Amino acid sequence: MFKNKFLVVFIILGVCGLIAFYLKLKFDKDAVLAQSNDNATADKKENRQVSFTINPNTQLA
Amino acid sequence: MEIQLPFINKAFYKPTDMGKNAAELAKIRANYGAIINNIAAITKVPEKLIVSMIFIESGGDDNAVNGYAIGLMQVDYRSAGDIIFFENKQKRLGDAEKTLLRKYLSTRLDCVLSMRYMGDKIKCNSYKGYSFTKTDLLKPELNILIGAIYLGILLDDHTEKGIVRLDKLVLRYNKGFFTKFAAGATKEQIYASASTTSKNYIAKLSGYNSILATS
Repeated sequence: MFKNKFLVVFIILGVCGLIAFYLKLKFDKDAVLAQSNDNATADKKENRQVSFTINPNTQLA
Repeated sequence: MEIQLPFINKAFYKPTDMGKNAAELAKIRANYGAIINNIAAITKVPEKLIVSMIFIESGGDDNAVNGYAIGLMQVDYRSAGDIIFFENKQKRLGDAEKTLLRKYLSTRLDCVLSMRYMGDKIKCNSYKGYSFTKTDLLKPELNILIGAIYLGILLDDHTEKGIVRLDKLVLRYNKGFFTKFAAGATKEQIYASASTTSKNYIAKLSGYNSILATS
């Protein structure tokens, strides 16, 4: 009897853990996608100008 | 936006490696310079960054295959279509890029552009969620185009106060689009919490004696 109760609690906790893990992954992905939707815009690409600033001591380390 | 080098106070390469690295970079330019220059122009991604990523990812070997990562820029053939889909959804995919994609994908480009979201499993991609094959990405021009478009997304996504966060850029390129960083994390914090492989990536691209500075 005790063993059965322990098993039921264990299974419930396991299922809850899996659901929580799935939801965390989903929310993380949604957050990254939302950020990229905001940042990677057409005008940013159109106007993108990249300059390089290279420290002259770069080779000395 | 500005790329500052060295970006991080770490080094993967020794000063004595730089001559050999410069020779390898010259070899990449000799083999693929015309393709890279054209793609840099149409994607608005610096030629130096494309060349550097080719060096780091494959050493200039267009037949390099590591699991799902294929070719010069080690593009994952399962996510190549997602990059194109995203770029098009954001209305960033230009005519020159579409023409080049069409040259290699033909009608499969329409399949990629008809997806509703990344990884959409639809009839035209045989319900796999992707349309690209390994063979597609062994073609240098297509491989470099997709890698460069991905780099362009990452440049725009990870420019903070005008400075490109090369740590985030290289980790997300390597680990995938959905890689998440802790809010407000500094480059030192990101470097410290990264795996050895990831630390090496950051240092190779943007540390002292880096490939990006050499290129």
